[in-house]
Parts: sequence; structure tokens; C-alpha cells
Amino acid sequence: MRLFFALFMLLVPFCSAQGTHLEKIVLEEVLTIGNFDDDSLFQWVGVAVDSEGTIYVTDAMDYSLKKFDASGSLLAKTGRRGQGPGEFSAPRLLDCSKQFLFVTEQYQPVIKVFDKKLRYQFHIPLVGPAGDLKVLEDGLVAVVVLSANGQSHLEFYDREGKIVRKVHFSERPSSLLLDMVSFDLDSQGNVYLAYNFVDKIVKFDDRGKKLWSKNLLGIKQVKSEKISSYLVPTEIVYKDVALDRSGNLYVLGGKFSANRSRDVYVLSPDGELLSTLTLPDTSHCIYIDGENFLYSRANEGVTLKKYRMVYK
Amino acid sequence: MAAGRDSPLEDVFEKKLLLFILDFQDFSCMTCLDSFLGLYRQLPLRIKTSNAWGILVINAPEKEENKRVWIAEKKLRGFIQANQIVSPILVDRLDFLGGLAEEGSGVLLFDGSRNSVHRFNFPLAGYQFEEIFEILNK
Repeated sequence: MRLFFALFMLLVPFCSAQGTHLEKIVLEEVLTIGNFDDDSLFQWVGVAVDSEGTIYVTDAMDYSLKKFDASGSLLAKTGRRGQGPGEFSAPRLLDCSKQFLFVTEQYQPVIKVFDKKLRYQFHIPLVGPAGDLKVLEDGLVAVVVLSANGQSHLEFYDREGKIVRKVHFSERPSSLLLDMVSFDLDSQGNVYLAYNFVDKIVKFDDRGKKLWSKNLLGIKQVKSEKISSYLVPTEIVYKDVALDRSGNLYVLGGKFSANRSRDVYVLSPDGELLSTLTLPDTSHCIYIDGENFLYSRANEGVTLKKYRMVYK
Repeated sequence: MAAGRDSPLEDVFEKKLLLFILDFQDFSCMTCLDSFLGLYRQLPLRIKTSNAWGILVINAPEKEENKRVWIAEKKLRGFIQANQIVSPILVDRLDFLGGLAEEGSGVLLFDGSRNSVHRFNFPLAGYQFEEIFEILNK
């Protein structure tokens, strides 16, 4: 009987959060950082949360990296406009390992690395500007590097900037930015990609073999604009992806979603659409921390919201 | 190109006024305002404090008007702090000057001695920087 009870308790969270049992997710707001009067956030871009619940944010408006405690109080801030060590021209993506924080620059092929006290440590050179970033451990980061020839790769860099592994996900060369993706990695090394300008979500295994591919919105092609000699897509289909603790994939929709930049599609690890939730405000990204809290933007980047996800 | 704090330009700037038009949409793309920052940094301090003004044009949809103004004011505060901007920059709260930003961010250069107005849209090409300082220097 005791064994049965233990098994039952172990299975309860999976039944409620993973697979076909998941029907509805309700967001309960638990924290707000940044209002109209304070100076904590001006235009946040990237967010990462460590195992202590400390929240790190890049702010493009004041060229900074900021650290908040779990209750939302600003603990520290670093950075200013510039090209030198610890300075930023347009800080963007952010992720953390046990020891370090990794920050990308929007237009520079580099990752700037800081310790948890926000002291600049070193940089990792990239072959092109980063389109998305995930940190696997202190000395290993996965980056989608934007490529001008229309064939981007997911590349794994060590701390010296050496590429130790590559996943080719482009099937054929495409127009500039059409193979731009957001991605996440699960604990088995599987890669989930959502194309930013194509209606396509794909899963690869850790050896780069495609497991499945989905399109959720039925979009054939997005509008493009000719800029210089390039044809550049201008309508975002999917903005970001994040995995929760159960391995479900959250995909933030862009222009074509019923609630533009607010609808989040929840897919099982097998690619089955389980549910759709709607953020209260438009966001450019979603982030899910180790405790399964979801973070998104509000008030055009002046505010960061943290939500508890309640599975119904 | 003439520039710097002790520039002789200070004497001829008396009858000149620089009016920076900042389009709120450009706050989503910080490099879009690089031209503004590049030009602003080269102006002598006295000009920045006496002869240069700015207007932040919001163009908010009516239903979001107040919220958009609050957001714009906060972002502007961050922008001013981070870039040590000392000139007054007003927020076009009532959307009187929306038309000025139809072509995006830029600068209007009023020359009182010649009764002329020049407009330069951002981003500025290198020769336009020179042109601006040439007009200011006349």
C-alpha cells in the first residue's frame, strides 16, 4: 500500500503537467519588476534566472546588465555604452551557468561573460552575431549564429571560442534571415527550434537527426522587403521558445497568432499541441526557470512579469 | 569637421538652433539613434545647454495614449541618463508634432541669420555630418 501511494505521488505531477492530460494553463502573476516611476528597467531584452532565484536582465536602453533578488529588488547593475570590456553597444540575449552570465551583443559577433557579481571576466568570439543562445555549462554555450549566406547552424562553443559541435538545421540555402530560429535544449540533448520567419517548429535528437517538424498556423510565406540587395522578411511567425520542467515546449507566436505576440503554444515532447495560453501583455520572449515560473515582458520592456503556471 | 568643447563654433552658434526629432519607435532599435548620439557628442557643451532642444514624438493610438506616454517618458529618462544628454527633450504628449516624425528621427537646423531651416534624417551619412557643421559654421 505504501509503495502504491509513493508511486501515485510520483506520477501525479506528470499526469497534470505532461502529455495529453494538459488542457489548460492559467498564469498567476507572482512578481512585477519595473513600473512607470522607478528606474529599475527601461527596456529589458534578455532574462535569466539562476538556481537561487536571482534574476538577471539585460537592458538595451541604458546599456546594462542588472541583477535582482527573488523579490525584485535591484541588487547590482553594470555596463555603459561602449566597445570596451564590460561595456555594451546593444546588449541582448542572456543566459547563466553555475558560475557565469553570458551576454550577446545585437550586432557584434561576441558573447561577453560576467561573474554573478556582474564583474566582467572574458569574452567568447563568434563567427557571426548570435540569433539565440543557451548555456549548457560554465564552459559550453550553444548559439545560433546568423549567417549572410542563408544557412545558419547551431554551434556549440567552448570558452575560448572554439566550435566543438555543429548541428545543421537548414535544409537548403534560403533568403537572408529566413532560417533565423529560436531554440532550446532538453536534458537529453534534443534540440527544439522554432523558425522566426517560417511556420515551422522542428525537433532534432542529440546527433542532429530530425525527429519531427510541425507548422501550427498554416502560414505559407511571410512578407519581405528589399533592403539594399537583400530580400528581408518582415513578419515574425514565432518569436521564442522555452522548455518547462516536464519537457513540454512553449512557443511564443508573433504576428499571425490570434493574440499577436501574446499567444503561447504548448507542445508535448512528441510535438502534439497540448494547449494554448495567452500572456496578459505582448512580449518579445518567454523564459521558464528551474522552478517552472514563466517570465515575459509588459509595457514595452519597462516591466518584467513573473508568473506561476497552474496546470488544469 | 569642426567639433569639441572649445570650438570657435560657439561664437557663431548664437543664431542657430538645433531641434532634434526623436521618433519613439526608434527606441526599439538603439542603433537607429546612433546618428543622434554621434552628432550630439560633437556639439560644444554650451550649445547643448542653450541652443539644442529635442522632441520625442510618440504617435500613440488613442486608446493607449496615457500608457504610451508613461512608457515613453520612462524610456526617455533612461536614454538621457545613459547618454549624458543635457539638452531639454520634451515629450509630445498631445501629439501636436506627430507630422515631424513622419520621416523618422532627424534634426532640424534653424539658421536665424539666414532665415533658413534644414532637415536631416537619421541615420546620417558621413558627408551629412560635415554639412551640418558647415551650416552651423556659416
